[in-house]
Amino acid sequence: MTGREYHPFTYYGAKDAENIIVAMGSVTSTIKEVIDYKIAQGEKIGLISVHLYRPFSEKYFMKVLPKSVKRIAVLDRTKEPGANGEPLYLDIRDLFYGKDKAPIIVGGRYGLSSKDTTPAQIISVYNNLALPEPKNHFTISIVDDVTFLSLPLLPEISVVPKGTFEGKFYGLGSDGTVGANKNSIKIIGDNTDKYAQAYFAYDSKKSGGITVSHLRFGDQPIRSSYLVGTPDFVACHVPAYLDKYEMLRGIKKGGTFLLNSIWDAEETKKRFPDDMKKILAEKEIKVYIINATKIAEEIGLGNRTNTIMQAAFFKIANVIPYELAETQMKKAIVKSFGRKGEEVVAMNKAAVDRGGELEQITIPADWKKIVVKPAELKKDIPEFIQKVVEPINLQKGDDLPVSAFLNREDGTFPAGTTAFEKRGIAVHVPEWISENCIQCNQCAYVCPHAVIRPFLLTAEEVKNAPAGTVTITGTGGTKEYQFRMQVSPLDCTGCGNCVDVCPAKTKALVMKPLESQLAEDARFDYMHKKVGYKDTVLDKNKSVKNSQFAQPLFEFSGACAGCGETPYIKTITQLFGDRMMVANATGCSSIYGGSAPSTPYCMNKEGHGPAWANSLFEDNAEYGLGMLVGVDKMRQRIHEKMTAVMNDVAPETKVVFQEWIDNMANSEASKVASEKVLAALKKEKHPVTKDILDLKQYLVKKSQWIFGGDGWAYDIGYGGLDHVLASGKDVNVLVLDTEVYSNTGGQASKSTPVGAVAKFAAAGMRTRKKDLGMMAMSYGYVYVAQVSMGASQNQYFKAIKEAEEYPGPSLIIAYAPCINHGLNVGMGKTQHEAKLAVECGYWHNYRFNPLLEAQGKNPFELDSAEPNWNKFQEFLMSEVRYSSLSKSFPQEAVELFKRAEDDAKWRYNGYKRLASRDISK
Amino acid sequence: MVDLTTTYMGLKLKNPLIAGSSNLALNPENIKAIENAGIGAIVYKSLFEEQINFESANLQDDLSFYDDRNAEMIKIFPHMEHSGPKEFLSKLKNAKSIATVPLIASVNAIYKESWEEYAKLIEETGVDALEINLYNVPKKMDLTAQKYEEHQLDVVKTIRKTVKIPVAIKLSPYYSNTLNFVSELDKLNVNGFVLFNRLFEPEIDIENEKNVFPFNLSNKGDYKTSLRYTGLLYGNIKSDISGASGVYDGEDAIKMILAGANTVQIVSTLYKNKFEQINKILDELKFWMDKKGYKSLNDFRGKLSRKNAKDPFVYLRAQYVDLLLNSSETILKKYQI
Repeated sequence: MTGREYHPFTYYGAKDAENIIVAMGSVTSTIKEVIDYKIAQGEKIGLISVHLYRPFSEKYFMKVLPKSVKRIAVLDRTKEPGANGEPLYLDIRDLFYGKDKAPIIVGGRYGLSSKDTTPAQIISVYNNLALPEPKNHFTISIVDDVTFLSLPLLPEISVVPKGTFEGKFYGLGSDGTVGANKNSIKIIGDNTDKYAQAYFAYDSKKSGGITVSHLRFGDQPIRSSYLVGTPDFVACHVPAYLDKYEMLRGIKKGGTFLLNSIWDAEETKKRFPDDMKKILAEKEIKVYIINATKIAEEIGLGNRTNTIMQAAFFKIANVIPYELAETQMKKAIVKSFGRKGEEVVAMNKAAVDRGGELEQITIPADWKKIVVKPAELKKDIPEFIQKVVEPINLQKGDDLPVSAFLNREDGTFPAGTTAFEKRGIAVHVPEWISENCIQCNQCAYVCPHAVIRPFLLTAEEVKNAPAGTVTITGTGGTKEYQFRMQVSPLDCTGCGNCVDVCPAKTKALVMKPLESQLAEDARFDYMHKKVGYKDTVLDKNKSVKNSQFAQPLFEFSGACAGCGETPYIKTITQLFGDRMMVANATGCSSIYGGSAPSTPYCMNKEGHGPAWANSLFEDNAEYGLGMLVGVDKMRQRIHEKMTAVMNDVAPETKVVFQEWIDNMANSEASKVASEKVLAALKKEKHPVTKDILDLKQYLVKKSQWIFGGDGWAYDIGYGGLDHVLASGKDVNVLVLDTEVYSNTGGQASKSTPVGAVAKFAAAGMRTRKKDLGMMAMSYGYVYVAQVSMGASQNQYFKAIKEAEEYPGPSLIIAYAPCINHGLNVGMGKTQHEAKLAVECGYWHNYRFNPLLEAQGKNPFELDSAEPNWNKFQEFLMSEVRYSSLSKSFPQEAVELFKRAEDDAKWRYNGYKRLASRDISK
Repeated sequence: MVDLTTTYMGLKLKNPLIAGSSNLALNPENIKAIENAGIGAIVYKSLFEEQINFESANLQDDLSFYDDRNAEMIKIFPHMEHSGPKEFLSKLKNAKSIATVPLIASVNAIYKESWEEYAKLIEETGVDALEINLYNVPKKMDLTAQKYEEHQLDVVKTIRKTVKIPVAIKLSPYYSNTLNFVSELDKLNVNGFVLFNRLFEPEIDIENEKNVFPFNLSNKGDYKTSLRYTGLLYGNIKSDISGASGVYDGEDAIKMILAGANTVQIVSTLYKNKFEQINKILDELKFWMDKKGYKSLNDFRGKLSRKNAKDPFVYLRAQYVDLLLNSSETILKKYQI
């Protein structure tokens, strides 16, 4: 009925084929495309698609296998380390075991690490089969220049049926490019007989990332299960991408390039990079520009250029008659915006009309002669960054050969690669107004991306600073120095929380257009590299203000602008980063914490910084415990070695060994003792020197942290977390509580409070939020704190210090506003929102320190003041996760919101009872 | 002791003072406070179809604001539909359960079907009456007055057929012949008229040269248009009259009743003078009646309407009276010019 055949195996290709592939899944449609293309050229090839893998039927396989087959390549999308071959390959070989005239059978892997499998790669597989001795255990999709098992990577060719349109659209995460393309395929799919296909590729950044939309339309069914590699049409919606991405790669001869250009034709031509110029001329590309950025501003659409670019696409791509596209685009506008009034509709219709304001650029034929110089390695940037990180960031990661990762077989990546990204995604960035600044450093404390930092400069450093660098005299303990609050504009995401928290009478920070602040880039570089972080002038452990003179060892992550989680992590790295280890559960914190090639955890000038690794939801707590136990074992070994040779080493060495042993459990003292040990070992002649130096990275007591979100801690990883807390070991757990699974798009967790809307709770969460802190407190020996940085910066500061110092397990549950909350005030006020949450009684700050109990004091301290419950409902209505329930299920909302308030009161009253209990009884 | 009770659209009220439709009587606390101040009845805020549509569009915007930014977060909220008038109705129902004085609902829709549907749903909440808020600012140059009125008559006819509770019409004074339009509506067996609606009036900020949208309260003395039409209509229509727009104090209320109003509606004075103004107006009314020797409102209602006026021309030349009866010199002298 549907045209789909239900056989265990099906054959496709020439009846008398000699060389065939056996494969299963979506790759078979790509193989079929290649077969059609090759048969048209007279080749005899074929494919057996596996539809029923288990039970694996010899009878049905043999039924479809052409008698003419002499060679078989079996493709597996898996890697079985240690096996003789991949599963399907072994099954096929088994079919012919001991049989006469068995064909030659080779196996290969494809599409590992989500690599795209393209027609060129399939052609390479058939070419391999045609060789006198086909390569076995081959790989495709990658150049393996280490084992040389990969098949040659051929240039991409187009094998789609004639008349199929292939297009690529480059956009920015928030500019609506993806939405416009979804609308375009809907228009074409709904209003014509054409087949349509779309795939949207994103990078791992949560904000300001690149999106590439891959679209195909055609009169015949589309079987291409791979990204567009040979486009007829390329559109660039973001002018800044022009010299960044290789957008014209693979473009067909006579294809079209549409650019949203903020420059006129002549200026645009000047701005094309050489390699692009050459392609434009050689492939005779038709180039159109439109200043969609300016048009959008003129008609009141702000930065939403998507409709203008969509109209421009329909105007020049000729996929369907423009009149039809125009009518349908306008219909969609009325449907989407009709309810918002005539003005909004008119504005968007104007965008469609003005999408026709295109200008074609004539490409000089002599651009063909341009000799493109290969990029030279830059001196000041590490080779790894230039050879690995940059290509990946420029969407060329799939081109990297295996050798690029030599000596990184264990998956270790260098720290601090985000510092080289300089993404420049903010529209506005803060400017420091020195005369208003009271040097409180709160802006730096709350910055989610560590892009605003205070520096203390000596007179000499002031003298050598870039011209125009303003400083003010330090206050209190820093009066010997000049103070400067420095912004790194190209790393800023423009959230504005720094401005929001600035307590100065007249704000000492003002948001200014990015272009006006570019000079700050060099200044930041000077401060960071030359001035450095004078974190010993004031004791960084004393106060929030002092802590900010320490270097953040977590910087420029890909977290959302205004992220409520990252400031918590950043502060921890400022206090303990030089000796900390982190086990990070999967979630937002693992995506912004380390998505290849971006590593925001970095090192100080001594080369010390957090060692970070990501593990799964279900075992992250144990993973962190394992790190601790491992390090403890190594330190125990140092202890044993020192003890064994105490009387054989030099007297000076003996003294420092003893000092180290005495202080090995004390983090700061062990740091001092370790330095002394290393100094003494330089002169020590005893062979133990080598043994201890081999273990030198374990000399300093580590600060073991376990990070994760509520999805991990409350739900999937809870069993493990509970186990680790119960172990009594000295680990510090930070739970970044957004009350939903943020990373995967807002699924409800057991942290989601009653009444909140989340996926799997579209009609509002019905069960009470789990009190994770109370559960942990029930052990009596676990340090527990519940914090909200926006409500009390100081309380959080105290909590992390106490947690780290506590010689057993610690759990900090941190309230983190998130895009999944849909804040009415926007992500520029996440700190403020966190403050309101505590003020109205939605969230409560407390600390439970078992050490106090030993001193006869109440271990539980309720840090939040009596809430203003009158503001509770108002707070709920200020977030879309709640207000949307009122709009969708108004009656239930009233009841659930009342329950939410009752729950909050119930929790608060419970805490109050704990705080006031008489501990002496 | 004077008797302030009155009947409005068949509802028995303890006094003629009604809190008009506004945001004041939305939450339960305010409803209680208004009642405690002595109000006779409350009109709940209008259910606006336009507002529901706007909210619905905004809801979709809010839910999709962060969509399509990251592969794993293509959407961050589940699919949700606006409930239409449900939120309003549930609040209305709640208000009705709280109110001890009659609660009148109000509605304003765009499409005839919506008018009908909303009126029915509102009736189901158990409110005592329905005010049809014909608020509409004509925007089209080619729509004739006749077509415009025909549409509104059609809407009212439909609603009248749909609901059994008493129905009042709240309208603007800006019809070609307001008296004729009211009388046409009166024939449709409605029960009351609220004179009049305040229209949305955008302002211009000359400093920044842009349109602004101030919160538009009436001013003391604005009641005169209502007063005039109350006087003209009293005794000429079957329906009751509620005088509204610019009634600030006891004196204004007395004037309205003298012109023929069964009730008066107050809003702006409550915003400006708070809820105790209700008590004050009632005291002033009682004091005046006492002074004049009136025992009940019926004793003087409509006494100065056109129908009962000794000079039958007084309403007809109302606007010219000053000019015709006084010399221009007298007027200039009066204003010290």
